[in-house]
Amino acid sequence: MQMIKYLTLMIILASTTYIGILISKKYLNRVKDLKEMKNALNIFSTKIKFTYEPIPQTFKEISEKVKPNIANIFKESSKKMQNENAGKAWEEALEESNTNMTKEDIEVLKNLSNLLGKVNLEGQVNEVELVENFLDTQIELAEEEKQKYVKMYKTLGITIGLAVVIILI
Amino acid sequence: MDINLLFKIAAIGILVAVLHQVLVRAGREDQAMMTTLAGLVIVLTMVIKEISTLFDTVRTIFGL
Repeated sequence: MQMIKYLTLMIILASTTYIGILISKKYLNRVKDLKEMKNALNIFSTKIKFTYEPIPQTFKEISEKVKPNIANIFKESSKKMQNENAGKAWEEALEESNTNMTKEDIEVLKNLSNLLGKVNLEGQVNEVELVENFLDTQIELAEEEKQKYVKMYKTLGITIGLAVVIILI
Repeated sequence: MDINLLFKIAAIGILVAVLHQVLVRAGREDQAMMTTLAGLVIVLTMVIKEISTLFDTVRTIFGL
């Protein structure tokens, strides 16, 4: 009986610690995703500047170069572009995507859809640059949050687990 | 009275103090306040039985 009790307490402690680490991972991954997105947009603007490929193909090529969860957005929107216009496809792909980015980040990225595939080369490059600038501020904010919350959630997980264990002993 | 109760209360006190510090550092003063209150309530529920026995003893001593 005593054995089972201690085992359960250990499991409770381990699980709360794990939950804390999981929540703190979300902040780490958000920064990573945002940086990867910026990287992808950089590739995109370079590609449309120097090659004259259509956007769906460019997106497909980008999706092969970046990390999987960002690549999914590009792949999806490239697929959707066969049926609808580029801006709408990009918006829908963003909405359906499953990344660690917050709603604000998604809104910032949606700005790209206004001119995507509608204006000439220069206009699109400018638009991408604008979105990249917005992304930079978003990355800064994410970094700040990361520094604030990652440590907090880790400590919170461990201490709350300990408190529950002590109360139950 | 069980001496373990004292150790338990002390441990909860330490943990609540740590939680309070962590939350204040992260700029969440209101939640820090809430955890402190929660700790207080938990400890109070633990000692309420002892308090009632104390009152009972006092009552029997003075024959009230």
